[in-house]
Amino acid sequence: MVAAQQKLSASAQSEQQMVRVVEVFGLSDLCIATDARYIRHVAVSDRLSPFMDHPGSIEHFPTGSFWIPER
Amino acid sequence: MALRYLERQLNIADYALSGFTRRLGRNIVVVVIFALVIFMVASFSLTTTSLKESASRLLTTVPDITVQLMSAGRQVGMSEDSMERLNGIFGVRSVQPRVWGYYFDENNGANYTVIGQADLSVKARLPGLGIDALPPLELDAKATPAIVGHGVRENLELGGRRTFSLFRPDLSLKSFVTSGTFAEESSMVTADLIIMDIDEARDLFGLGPDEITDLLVDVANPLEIDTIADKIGERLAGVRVVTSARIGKTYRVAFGWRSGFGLACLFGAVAAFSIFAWDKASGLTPAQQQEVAILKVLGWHTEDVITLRFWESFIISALAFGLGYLGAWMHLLVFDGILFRPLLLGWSVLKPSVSLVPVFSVADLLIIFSLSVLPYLAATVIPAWHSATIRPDSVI
Repeated sequence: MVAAQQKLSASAQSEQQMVRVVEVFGLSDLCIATDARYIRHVAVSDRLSPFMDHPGSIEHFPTGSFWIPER
Repeated sequence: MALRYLERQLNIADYALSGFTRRLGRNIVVVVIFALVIFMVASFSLTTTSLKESASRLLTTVPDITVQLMSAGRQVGMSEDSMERLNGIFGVRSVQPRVWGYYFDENNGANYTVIGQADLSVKARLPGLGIDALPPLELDAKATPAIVGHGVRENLELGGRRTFSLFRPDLSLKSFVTSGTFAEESSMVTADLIIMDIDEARDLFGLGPDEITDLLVDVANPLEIDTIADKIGERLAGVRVVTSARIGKTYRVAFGWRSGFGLACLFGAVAAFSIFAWDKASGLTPAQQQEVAILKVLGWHTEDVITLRFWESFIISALAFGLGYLGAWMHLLVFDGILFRPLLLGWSVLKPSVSLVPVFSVADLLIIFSLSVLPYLAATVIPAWHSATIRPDSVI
């Protein structure tokens, strides 16, 4: 927990930068994965977005298995 | 009385510990497998809590309201004139048009997020953004200034160069000059960004002169966000209105046990515990039966033998829980979640450097404890009773 606290405080400055960047450029999402668009910008997607590639399309990105679709 | 009870429990626990060392090989295998199961479950739990925590800390300043036009279930471009229809709404402090989209780099297969902003030169000079600003560059040909994320810079293999080109939809090249790079430390929100002036983004994507992709609405009083969002929905037909509260809610529920991988971890844990329970319930070995019989001959009661079995199970499960949870903590803290990273990044070509910091949560600890130690103890109740009711003369 002490090591975690150290890691957290080390990232305090970068956290301030990120909060400011989000504010100035109006960002909506974390950049965790850049493969599927509905994962990159999950906050401005909906639960049908993964299936919109073509009729009958199934969700096939591996990152999709880590995220819960929005209700 | 209490002291005597405690002493009795300690003596039985002491005997259980000596029994643990007598069957050392078998018990170590059980503890290691049990610890691995708990490690997987705890790692998943710590990773999701860490990501939720990051989202709640970093996304506090998202736009109050984002307005996007929808058609046939997809987001489509909208006219800049839509801004005028929001002007009369009381409580709206400002409305900013924006062009954003994805650029697929065919050279390396990476996806970049391109954002076109009005007044970019003013915004880029604001303090605290962590942008490594570069002086203007004199070039022969016209090149558009752009601020790029650290990941984009690496993926484009710019090295010491500052210029790069992207294709328009008609396959003509558009040249850019890097006017700044976001710090690597801010990669968790900026890794794949290319930010440019709004007109240049229109040019890159081949959009019309007044076409935009969304509107960012700043509301004076946060308590009025929902009311204003409803009003915007009434004034602009077919729009999707995303409030800051909804973005927060999305990230609060985005990670958890209901995801595919979460369920896989959970089912794996349940399957492992079922095998343990089956192993325990499937009866005692002749050596164990003999041990119980000897204990009973020596004067142990049924209750004592059940207590002994409880302590044996508790020592194994608590040891495995401690090892598994500690391992999960180290997995995130020292190895940055290396086992889950391939799944978190998936098929991403541009790989943002996500920093995972484990967050201690009593709720998470109790969930993992309830999922691991308690079922194991519960599974040993009936076998413990079976073993305790053995008649000594039937075994010896």
